[in-house]
Amino acid sequence: MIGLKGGINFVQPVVTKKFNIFNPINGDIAQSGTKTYRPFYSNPGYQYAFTALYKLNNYMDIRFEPTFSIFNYKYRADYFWISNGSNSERIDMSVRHLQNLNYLDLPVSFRLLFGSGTVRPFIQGGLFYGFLLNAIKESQKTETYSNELNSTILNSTTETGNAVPLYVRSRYGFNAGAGFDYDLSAVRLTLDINLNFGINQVTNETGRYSVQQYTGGLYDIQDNIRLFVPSINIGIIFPLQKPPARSKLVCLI
Amino acid sequence: MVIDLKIKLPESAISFLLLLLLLPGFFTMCTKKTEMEPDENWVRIYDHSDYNRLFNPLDVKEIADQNFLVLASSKPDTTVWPVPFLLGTGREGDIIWSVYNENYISPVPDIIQTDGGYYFFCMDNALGTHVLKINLDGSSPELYKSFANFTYPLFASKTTDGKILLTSYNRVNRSTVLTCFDPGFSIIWSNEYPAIENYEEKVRLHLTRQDSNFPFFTGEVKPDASGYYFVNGFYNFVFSLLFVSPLNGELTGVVNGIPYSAAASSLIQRSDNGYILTRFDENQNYINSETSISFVSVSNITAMGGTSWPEINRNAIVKSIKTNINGNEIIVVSTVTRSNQVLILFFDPETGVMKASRYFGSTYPVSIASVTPTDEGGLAVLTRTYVAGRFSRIQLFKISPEKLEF
Repeated sequence: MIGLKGGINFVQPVVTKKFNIFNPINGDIAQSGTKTYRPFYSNPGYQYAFTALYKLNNYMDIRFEPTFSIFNYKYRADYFWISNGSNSERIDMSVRHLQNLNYLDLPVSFRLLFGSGTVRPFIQGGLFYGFLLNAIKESQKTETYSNELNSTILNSTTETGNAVPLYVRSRYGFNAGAGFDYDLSAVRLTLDINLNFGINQVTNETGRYSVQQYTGGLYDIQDNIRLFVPSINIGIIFPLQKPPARSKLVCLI
Repeated sequence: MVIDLKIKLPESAISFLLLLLLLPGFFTMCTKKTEMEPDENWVRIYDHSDYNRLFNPLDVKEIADQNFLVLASSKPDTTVWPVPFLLGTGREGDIIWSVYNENYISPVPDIIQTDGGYYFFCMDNALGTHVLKINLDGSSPELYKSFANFTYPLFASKTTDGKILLTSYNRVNRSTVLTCFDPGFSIIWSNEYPAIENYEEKVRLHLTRQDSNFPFFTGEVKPDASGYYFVNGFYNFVFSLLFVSPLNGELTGVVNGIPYSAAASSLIQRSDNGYILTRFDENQNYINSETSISFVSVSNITAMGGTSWPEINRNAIVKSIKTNINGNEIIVVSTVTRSNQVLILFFDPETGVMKASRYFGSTYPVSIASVTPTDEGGLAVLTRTYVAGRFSRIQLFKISPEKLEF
């Protein structure tokens, strides 16, 4: 059987080691430049896939689903400088970063269906291997001057650039999920929630400092991260031939 | 209820399944190395949250365990004279300790490594010169020796035979002073080279970073066994490059500059009879890697030729070292561009031919303070940067040998 599938995803970066260009000389205060990541529900993306399904029996099938995935995640880094150790005058610099990653994922998954009606729940699990196709970074920097009377934005700039050197070319891990399969005879519809766990680090350590636009201008370098990607998908599957006879099912009550 | 699932997989499906399971492993094997040792390449900015405090880096040395020692000066923007500030970092540039010394002012490069310790010259409020010994445990540097007769220390360096050269400015005699010390900082000789004008104000503004930077430096060349020491400083009515006898400091030759518009910015011996001279002249910078320079006569800096480098910043500081990178001896000439990048040029020591260039950093103003080879065969580059375009801070690059392959 073949089909199409698509849906939305939400990326949660899992930080394994933090990096910061800034080192505070007076470490008794909060450190500037530490990244704060947005939670997964703030990082929507989407994916669409081609489905090739091989039915092993009436309760189990294996799927190969080449998928184009658009992952987004966001973080911000804040910096501040105060006058003579007081808050009467200060300059704040906030940099918001959006990382946009495009992957071609090649997942292989098993699906185990339950029940025998037209609507059947299932669980699924498998492995995936992804190729990075493109990476774009968008950053917005805002500088603010504040004193006891008011606060004024000094400068606000946005810049976009290539972020491919910051990431490794491959990403792999495993999938797990659950959903429903709706058999309409001519086609089958699926709805699933899938959790995608990347087990390798996507940050390219050798390229961490390689893009001087980011290191010199934005003071930004990538933390070591893995990607955890929950997603919601709907799909449609077209049978290519008459369904084979169901496996023998013996129920003992 | 017990459900017994009897599943029979066709052989083709099993083969297909095994193939798919092996695919990730195959792709992983094909992936090139993307992880690196933690200390190979990085840039660090040492920031302070007080925006009224200024930092001016002076020199960096790699010490034991591939850690770094940074000498800098620091002051609030409401005061004139900066005090010594020292920074000890780990191999990845993380701060291990930092210390100010409020008892002295105006530290000058270089950090001098001698007798198993690290030292630097600085001044007191009466303008007398002192040598402080750096404590690598992070405690305040302690007084090692004092030379009250020497005023306004400007630059120090170490010679190949372990002697120490210090140039200073004598405010009473209005002269540039070159002093040669033994490794224990005992004076071997000291000589003065008189200036006609009074340059004290220029020297003060240079040391307090309130005006143009002057390329004060000392060093040595050895075209023969005895060789010559050199000092760049005020002489007669111009900023000049002076060559002196290593035996007693007697003046042997002069390359005269042009008042406030042309001077040498660095000199290094690249081979037995080859030298690389950099100079600035009327907003342009020149690098001559095949310079013909006399150490025993009077000449003029504008006649020293060289290739014009329009991208190099006006009156840029230039630092030249001879080192070994990836198994090859090389001359490294470092400076900054008008577009706020560190420019590092690599010259063949035998031929003087430029072999490669590298650019680092961008966006905010930067000036070079020091370049030093690292134990692993790369470079560490110390610069001053203006963080967010505003705050004068210390910036340290570490560049791995892999980034310097050419």
